Amino acid sequence: MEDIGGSSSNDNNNNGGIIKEQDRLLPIANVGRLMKRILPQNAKISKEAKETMQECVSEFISFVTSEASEKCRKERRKTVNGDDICWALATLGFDNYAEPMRRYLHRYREVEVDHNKVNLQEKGNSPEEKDDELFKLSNRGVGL
Amino acid sequence: MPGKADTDDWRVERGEQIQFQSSIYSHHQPWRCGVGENASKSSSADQLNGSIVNGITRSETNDKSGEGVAKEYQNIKHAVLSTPFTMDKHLAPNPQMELVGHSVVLTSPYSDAQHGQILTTYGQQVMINPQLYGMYHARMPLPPEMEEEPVYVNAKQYHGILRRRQSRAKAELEKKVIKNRKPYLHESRHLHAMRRARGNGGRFLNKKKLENYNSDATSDIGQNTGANPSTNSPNTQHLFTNNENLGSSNASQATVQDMHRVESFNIGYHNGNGLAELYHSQANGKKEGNCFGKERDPNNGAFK
Repeated sequence: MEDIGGSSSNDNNNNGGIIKEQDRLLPIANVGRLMKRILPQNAKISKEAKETMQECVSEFISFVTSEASEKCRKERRKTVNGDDICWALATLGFDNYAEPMRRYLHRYREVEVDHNKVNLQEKGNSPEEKDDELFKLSNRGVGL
Repeated sequence: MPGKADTDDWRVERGEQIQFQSSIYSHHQPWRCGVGENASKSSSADQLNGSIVNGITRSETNDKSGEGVAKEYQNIKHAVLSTPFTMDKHLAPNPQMELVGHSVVLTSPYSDAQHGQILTTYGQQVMINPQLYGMYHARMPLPPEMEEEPVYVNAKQYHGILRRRQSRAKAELEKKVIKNRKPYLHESRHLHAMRRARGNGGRFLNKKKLENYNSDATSDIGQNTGANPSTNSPNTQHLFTNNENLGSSNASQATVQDMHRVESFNIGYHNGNGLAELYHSQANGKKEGNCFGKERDPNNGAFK
């Protein structure tokens, strides 16, 4: 299997120009948590499964982002925004993902506006309200 | 009629893919394999048609289902391409293994017949597939002759895949990718986590729970000693994740804080969901404890 060495060296020495694992891959605990959400309560996920999914989702993100970045390069723009990501998903043939992502992006922008308004009036309730809204959208995306 | 239209579209698209591939790969895959693949897709399309019920009209539903099936298959192929290897030149033969697996999983007798025909007609396929399967499982580099096998991908993703291959090759040449997975990122944070007090189930104790823990120290010593070693690793992993999130944007910090609230809420009120999470945490800890066998000794030393 994989060689997991218990090295105790300080990572500050490896900062110069080296792409670290945490820069190339998503955090594995977050990936495992997302995988667990779709499974029943008593299901277990092996570490190898989490690592494999970690590689898959990280490569998928790089793949879609590369397509969006290429579009921005051709149009002489420097900022990749949400519309570019939705366009890239559609261009690469992920039509079933592009349409839910557009709706999610639209609702997200609405929530941002509402969040700014509420934040000016009172600051107590705004974080929970925003998180609940995003959580609902996320669940809807999973259902699709 | 719509199903047949999907088949025709697939043949046209396959022709385009062959034209793309012919400029790079010298070997040309026989048409019979393509026929088998189309049969598999038709079967999958029929299943999807049976399962999808929407407000869209009949013909539109059929067309969309066919496209979905094709794209899903391409996604699977792409996932296989990107997962096992970081070197792009070794990615070529993998989809063949995936192709065989895909046809085997289907229960339709028609696809089984096609699969049998493929195996009987081309003896070399029988020789190739077991090697591919074994090598894929072991993640070993493939012989050079295998690289000449053509790879069929979604035409829309062709340029993107080539671009990503170049990016990965560039990263490989610069040797900027660290392939070893480390159990933790920062030594000081790791030591701090090892020194923190842990309650029942291996979770960290906050200040309030620490006071309660101290008051009940006499009754919990034996139980904690037994529980802590097996559940050491998942908490360490969890701490690293939190640290990484804290290092990034404020939104991540907010998310982490909310997670902490939820966890403290569950632990504080001892409801069923909390107990289930504790049990799940213990199970994960036991499994990961086997993976991180070396980590148990420092834990025992710290608590003694």
